[in-house]
Amino acid sequence: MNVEEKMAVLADAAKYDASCSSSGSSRKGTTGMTLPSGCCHSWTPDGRCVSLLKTLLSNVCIYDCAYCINRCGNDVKRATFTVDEVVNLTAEFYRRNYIEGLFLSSAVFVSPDHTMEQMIRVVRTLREERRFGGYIHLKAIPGAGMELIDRAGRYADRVSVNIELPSAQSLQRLAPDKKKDDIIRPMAYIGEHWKQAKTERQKNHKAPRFAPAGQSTQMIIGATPESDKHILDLSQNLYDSYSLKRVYFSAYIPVNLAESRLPVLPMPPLLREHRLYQADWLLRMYKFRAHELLNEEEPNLDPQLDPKAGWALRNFHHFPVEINTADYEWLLRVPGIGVLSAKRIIAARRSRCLDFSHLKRIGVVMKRAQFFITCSGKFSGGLRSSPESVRKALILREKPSVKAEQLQLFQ
Amino acid sequence: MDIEYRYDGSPDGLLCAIADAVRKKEQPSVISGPFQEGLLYADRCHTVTTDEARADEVIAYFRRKVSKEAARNLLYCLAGPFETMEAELLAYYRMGLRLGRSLDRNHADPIVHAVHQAARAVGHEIHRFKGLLRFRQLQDGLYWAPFEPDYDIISALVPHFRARLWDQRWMIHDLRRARAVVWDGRRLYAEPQPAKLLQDNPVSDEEVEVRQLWKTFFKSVTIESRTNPKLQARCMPLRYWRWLPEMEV
Repeated sequence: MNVEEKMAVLADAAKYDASCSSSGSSRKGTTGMTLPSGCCHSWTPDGRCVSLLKTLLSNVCIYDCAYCINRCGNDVKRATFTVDEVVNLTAEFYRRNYIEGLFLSSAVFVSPDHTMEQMIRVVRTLREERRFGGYIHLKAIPGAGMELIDRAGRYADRVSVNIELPSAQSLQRLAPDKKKDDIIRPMAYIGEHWKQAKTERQKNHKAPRFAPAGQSTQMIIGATPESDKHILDLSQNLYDSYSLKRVYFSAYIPVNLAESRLPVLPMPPLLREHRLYQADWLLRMYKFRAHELLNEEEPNLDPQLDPKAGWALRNFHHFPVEINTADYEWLLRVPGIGVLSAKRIIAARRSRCLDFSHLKRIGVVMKRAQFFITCSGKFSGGLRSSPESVRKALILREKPSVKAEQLQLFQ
Repeated sequence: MDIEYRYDGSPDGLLCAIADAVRKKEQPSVISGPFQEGLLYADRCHTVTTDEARADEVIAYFRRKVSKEAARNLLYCLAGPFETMEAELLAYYRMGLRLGRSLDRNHADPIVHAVHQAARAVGHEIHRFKGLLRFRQLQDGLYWAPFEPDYDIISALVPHFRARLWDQRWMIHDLRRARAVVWDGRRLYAEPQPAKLLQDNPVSDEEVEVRQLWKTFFKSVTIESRTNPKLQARCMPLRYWRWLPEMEV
């Protein structure tokens, strides 16, 4: 098999990994450097960005996970890159500004430790022999030894372990070879060492780095029966306990059609994925807590309304918020006001009293915000007394950004 | 009294016009370039002398008096749509001298807003091309990066690529404005005749191979069941596709 054929197999096999970020690290080598802001280099026809050379080292797998295209029971083309092939591809792509760096993952061949060692050889060659300063995201293989995870963290900008499924039971059912503990242990290890290295480097800027861009994880949405509440609670826990930077959700795409353990869906649950990402954003950037967004009575996100508007309608008694006096935290809670516009409001109102025309200029999305704010005591647009009527008005104004799921005629 | 300022249509010319207006404490009714219509009846017409050194001073003064951020906004506008916003830029400059550091927090002000919008558009394009610029290896080892940006952003891109690709020789080439900057491994310089470097210098064999690999990669990472060409075109506008190897048919 030549490099191109291998590329076709291994890049194809890696594409279901949702993570693409290249941000959060600042590094410089002989060739290449990383931008703290990250950088997208292209966009594929599915609208996802390409920022890293995302590939598997090998798709030869000893495991048999129900949702995975590379499981050992499947009859697919198998390929394995050599270390030099990945190193050269990364370097040549980087020279042409095709990519920001490398995202290397792998199926588990021979053993977790063996796989991890091979992956580390790639990044070691890149960093030490080629003096490569670009971004490297390395997937940690569940079950690999901690000293290997430690070495991975020394070379990579981000190390991540995929949690795969939202609960231990689902994992047991669909990926019997992977143990919950094998996933959580490296995650805890990375979280702890990342924190340590960060404090060390604040004291001494020559202290060694450990995955400076932090860790992320990914789980499949819609293949198992967990509710949105369960998923968000889990995400919240991961952020709190293991200092994760991101939790990625990937809408379940059936790749193994003859698998009885998995549901049959007409299309991937993209809208659900979208709403979960919106909720996740609220956790990370807007200081929301998972229990505020969902509870036992309403365990799933409303497909018709974004989660922030949903929260605002359930807590209608807190509104309206007065733009000219409200705290930053309260501005952030208004639907239609984002982090940027909240900061701008705080800055702009130091020089003048703001009215609605100013807010438009500032970038507030008035079609949502109008129901929840006053400017110097004045309401704009329709004053509505009940959350139900606001809800209707919001849904009317909402362009569907993601196509709603096609309903089944016969079920 | 209607005063008209005429300048040569260059960014430096506009900076000198702004400096003249500020120094003479005048409020020109219109600042017009060579291809713009001036006033039909101007009481007085002042022709601005363009002076590069003076233009640099105008920016430096603004940076000192106001802020780095404000000076950057001004520079970005001058790399972008300044020919449609001379009056706003003059007003922004004046406002900056009056308000000092607090200038840019006036997000609700129409002048500040207009300048921020324009500067953001230019900044956005700079960021985009940090990702979308593509280098191709030519036979003599030079990496050639042609592109056709909306704004004159080549000088903003150069430092980024010097830090990133400093162990290879390259030329970034703005085809729309026929401007090129070369990095020869030691120093940067503007290349007045980029065509000369490209003559009898086709892409290398290695380039053909790597490009094919890149196309294969690009095709392989696409998830067909999530196809969303609208989203793709929004993130990566069609006008940029011409120089992207992965978008070649």
